[in-house]
Amino acid sequence: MNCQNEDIIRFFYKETSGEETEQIKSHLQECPCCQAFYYNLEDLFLTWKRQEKPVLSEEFSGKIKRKLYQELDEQKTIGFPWSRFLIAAAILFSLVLSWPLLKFDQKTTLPSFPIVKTQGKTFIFSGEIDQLRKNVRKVKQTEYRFMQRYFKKPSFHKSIVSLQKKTKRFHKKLESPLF
Amino acid sequence: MDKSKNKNLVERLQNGEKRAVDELVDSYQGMLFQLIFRFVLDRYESEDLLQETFMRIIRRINSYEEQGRFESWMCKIAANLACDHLRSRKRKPLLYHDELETKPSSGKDNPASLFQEKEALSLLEKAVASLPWEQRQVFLLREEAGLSFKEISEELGVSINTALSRMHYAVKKLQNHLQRISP
Ligand SMILES: [Zn+2]
Repeated sequence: MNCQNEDIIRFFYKETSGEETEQIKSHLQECPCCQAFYYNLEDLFLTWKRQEKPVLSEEFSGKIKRKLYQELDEQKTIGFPWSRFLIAAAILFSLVLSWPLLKFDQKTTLPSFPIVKTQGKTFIFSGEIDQLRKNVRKVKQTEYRFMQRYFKKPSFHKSIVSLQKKTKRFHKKLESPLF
Repeated sequence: MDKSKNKNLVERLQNGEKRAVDELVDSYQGMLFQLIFRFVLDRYESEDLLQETFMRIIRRINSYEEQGRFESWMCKIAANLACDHLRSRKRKPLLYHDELETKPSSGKDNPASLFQEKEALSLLEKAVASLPWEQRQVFLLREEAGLSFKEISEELGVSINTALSRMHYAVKKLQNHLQRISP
């Protein structure tokens, strides 16, 4: 074994493996340099440990405790399953609302609304344009889900942003005399 | 504090028991304050950071998994905050020791040796404070926070060898300081 002070340091902190530990131990017995380094290391850390310890006042720990009680109380209110319950209810509600738009065509298993242009491809579906016009907002929601489902974009946020642009174009098309 | 006591403490904290908060603060404020103080070297900033550390502990207590020691988990949080804090405040001059309220160290009755010892300690403290930041960081994470070199390397985003070599430089410098005062 070569003289490696770094190994002695790891040995000092008991971070060497069993085999390594044995090697270093026997090296220490025959190498005065490493021995000296090891004892100096011990000295250094014993001195460091003897340092005066900073002390906190009682008043200060009382203050910390009061803050932590507050934090605990806040966590309890946040931790109550209300938030999850509300989110679940909201999802259910929006599903119910958009259900007419999510009717699936048995043959193609795709939602039944007219045109979605994305990634250079045009998809045409059968559907009632009037209903779509009335439910522009719902269409958007349905499209989001549609996008997530069929295009599996890596980032949800990105897909939403690009979808918003596409939705605008899509709605312009809906307004056009073609429809 | 032993492992089973800590486990119990963590569970009670997770259940939101206020008495567990008292126990947490009483048992660990000293250790964590010392750790933060050795980094920051300013009493008031250390107090703020200690408070923030406890807040984080409480906020993250539900995500604590029983893989490592609870103490090291807390030390990591404290050291992390202290390091972030130092990164954000451009290093300010070190004026710390005089304003610090400290416990006298025990055991030495002989005034001459007491004086020598005090001098050695104070010099060592100053020597640590004057280490280059990267070396001081590794030294304190190992010595005060009790993190292993593997944990330190993960914490700092460097290799274990880099962490070890920084420690080695730090140790060499500190040993030189010590030898200068006790020939
Ligand atoms: Zn050697």
